[in-house]
Amino acid sequence: MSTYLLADLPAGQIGQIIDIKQMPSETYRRLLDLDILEGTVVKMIRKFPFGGPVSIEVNGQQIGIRRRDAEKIEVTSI
Amino acid sequence: MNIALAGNPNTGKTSLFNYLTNSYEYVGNWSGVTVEKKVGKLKGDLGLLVDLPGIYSLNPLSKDEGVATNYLLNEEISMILNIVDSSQLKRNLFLTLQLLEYGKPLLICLNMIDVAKSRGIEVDPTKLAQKLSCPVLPIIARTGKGCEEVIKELTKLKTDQAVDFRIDYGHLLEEAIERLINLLPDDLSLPRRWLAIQFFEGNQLVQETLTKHIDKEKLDSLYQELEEKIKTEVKSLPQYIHLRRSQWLDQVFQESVTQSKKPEKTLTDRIDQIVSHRLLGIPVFLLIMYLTFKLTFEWVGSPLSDLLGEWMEGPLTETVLLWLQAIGASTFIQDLITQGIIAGVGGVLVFVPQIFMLFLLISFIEDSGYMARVSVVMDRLMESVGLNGKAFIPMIIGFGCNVPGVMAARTIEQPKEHLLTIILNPLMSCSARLAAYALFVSVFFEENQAIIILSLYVLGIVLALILAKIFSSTILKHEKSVFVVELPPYRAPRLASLARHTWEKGKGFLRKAGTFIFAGSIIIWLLSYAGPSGFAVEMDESFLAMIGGVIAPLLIPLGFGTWQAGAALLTGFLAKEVVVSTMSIIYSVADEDALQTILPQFFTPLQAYSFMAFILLYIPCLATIAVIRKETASAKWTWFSVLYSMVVAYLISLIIYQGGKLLGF
Ligand SMILES: Nc1nc2c(ncn2[C@@H]2O[C@H](COP(=O)(O)OP(=O)(O)O)[C@@H](O)[C@H]2O)c(=O)[nH]1
Repeated sequence: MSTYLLADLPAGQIGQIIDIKQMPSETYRRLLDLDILEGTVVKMIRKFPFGGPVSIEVNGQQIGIRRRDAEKIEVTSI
Repeated sequence: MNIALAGNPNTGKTSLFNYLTNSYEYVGNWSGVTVEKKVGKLKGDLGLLVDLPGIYSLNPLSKDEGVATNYLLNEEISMILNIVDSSQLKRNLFLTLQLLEYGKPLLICLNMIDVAKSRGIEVDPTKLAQKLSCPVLPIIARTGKGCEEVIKELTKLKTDQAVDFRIDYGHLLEEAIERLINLLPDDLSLPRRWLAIQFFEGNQLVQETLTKHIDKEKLDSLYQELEEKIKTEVKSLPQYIHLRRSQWLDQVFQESVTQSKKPEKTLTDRIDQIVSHRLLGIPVFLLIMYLTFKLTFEWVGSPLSDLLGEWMEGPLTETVLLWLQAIGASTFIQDLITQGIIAGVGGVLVFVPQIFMLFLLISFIEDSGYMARVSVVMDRLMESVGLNGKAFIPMIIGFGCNVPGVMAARTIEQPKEHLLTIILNPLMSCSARLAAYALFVSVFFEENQAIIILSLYVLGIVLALILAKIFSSTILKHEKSVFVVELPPYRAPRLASLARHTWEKGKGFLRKAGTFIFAGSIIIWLLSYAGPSGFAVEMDESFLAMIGGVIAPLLIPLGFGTWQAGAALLTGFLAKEVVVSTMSIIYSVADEDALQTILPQFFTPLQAYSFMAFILLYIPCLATIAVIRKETASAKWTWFSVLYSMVVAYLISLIIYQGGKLLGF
């Protein structure tokens, strides 16, 4: 079992969030609203080039977030 | 009786609202924010249904999201209708729990059961109702299935019955809730436990309400004390509360929801493989935009516009003229109606087919779920100039008309980005300006029409990006914004709702033609008809010539310092398409063909290009200014958007004309 930053999780892979580091509180809150927090299982769908946003899937719902925020989320691959 | 309709964004709230109500009681904005407020009359004379904005939680992130919470805090409501997306049930129920805690009778509409089923999710409404101690009705808001039952159930629901719903939040939090409740005065009409829980979740609006009754310091210390205690377990109070609810919901789910194996690849996944492809995404988007413009301006919209224009110039004008002569109207009245009103208002109305076509396509893009993808695909580019991906959509809509473009900026949460998106929108070359370009390129750039027009569109976009960068790093400096976008599954839009959305966007345009373009046409025509020496004067002697003459000297460095150009620009402020009609009145020619032969006497190609760039930039039209004023709720920023456009227009035209002369054009 290895830990990654969510931003580094390869497309198509699934990981479980183990830690969300310091990020703007509004973004954090919005993630919480979407039921994204420690323990949540996420799947990387795709990453847009030039440090663009990433699409992830959470509980069957797709969500786009910025790369910068994805770099604050630590996951273990499962 | 007031019933509030609440639910997450994109759960089918609008569809349900339309099924449950007969007519609107009120449509407008919520006070202080730019969120649309809709109140409808419920079928069966049940009372009023108040559509609260789609939210994930009662704990708001922005002023706009605070609308629902403020409503619960300040208004009298009898019951709550909560719509949830059963294919995303757990996430939706977090809001439901907060609403149940509010204590008013609540009815849950379990929507999208068809979608849930296709994903292998089966929800048992009876079990769910038991667990949540409130009625739960399965519906499909898209087709109206089950909506009759909702009305019936609402009739049965007793409004005075207090609902006692509680989740055990663990002894630490429960103790703190108890302490807070004891501090509240006895005569408070709001539900105490709800207030306390919301407060510990960090709800600012609730905190403000509480400070009316309890010392701010006392409140702060209560909060901090509790947060200290739970810090050993989790990061923050909001997260703690979320986790407790999550555990509670998991229990409920064990008994009421079954998830069979879900299909490997949904249709949405397959579509996204192409349209949201990491590299193909932008080209696909450009292609879709290209098709949208083709449909609007070439294949469908413009041909219809031409037909309409011919009908107004020919049969309509002739019939009206005959009729006026028959009732013996004076030549003054005849001229006023045919040359002033029909020419002026008609000149704008011919754009109706194009505008509605564009709005229809934009509604399609929105309703299908593609719009959300666009903002993700474009986010990187927009971020680099201090905006976010969501700002791209208003810009695209601005190509059709700046008015809905400005309104579309509402979805942007960050206030400064919202403002920036609004004030830059007029730089998007709207379809009205196209009319003026079309005239000039056909005269001066016959060989390169498309390139020249394209260059003007690009000029607008590039300037918008540059100015975004400048403004966002100076006067509108702001925090990095929230960019978390839900990407809903693709759905085939329904004809009825497309028609409705198109009409809602487009009706403002019709209203504009009927009101101040109507008035404006009369004024322009009168100014050109009258002069210091009386009525029916030569155009050169008219008031319009005098007024145009005042600004002409200012325009000399730009290459078009004539009173005619000055007057056309002045009137173009009403609506940019009026530039063309004013010019045809001024050069006293009957139609565009004649205008084409006469224009080369007044402009060189370089001057014409400088003039077109000026038309693109010089000022947002009156309707756009009005909507900027409304959406920013600030006179200062409205003035700013007018003034910066003038400065930029002057500079750009100056550079084009003087630079062009140096280069020997
Ligand atoms: N399949 C399906 N689609 C639905 C249902 N309810 C709404 N929709 C669709 O979901 C989309 C969003 O609906 P809308 O009423 O605009 O949701 P709102 O954003 O919450 O107001 C529209 O395309 C609807 O046609 C449903 O029960 N089943």
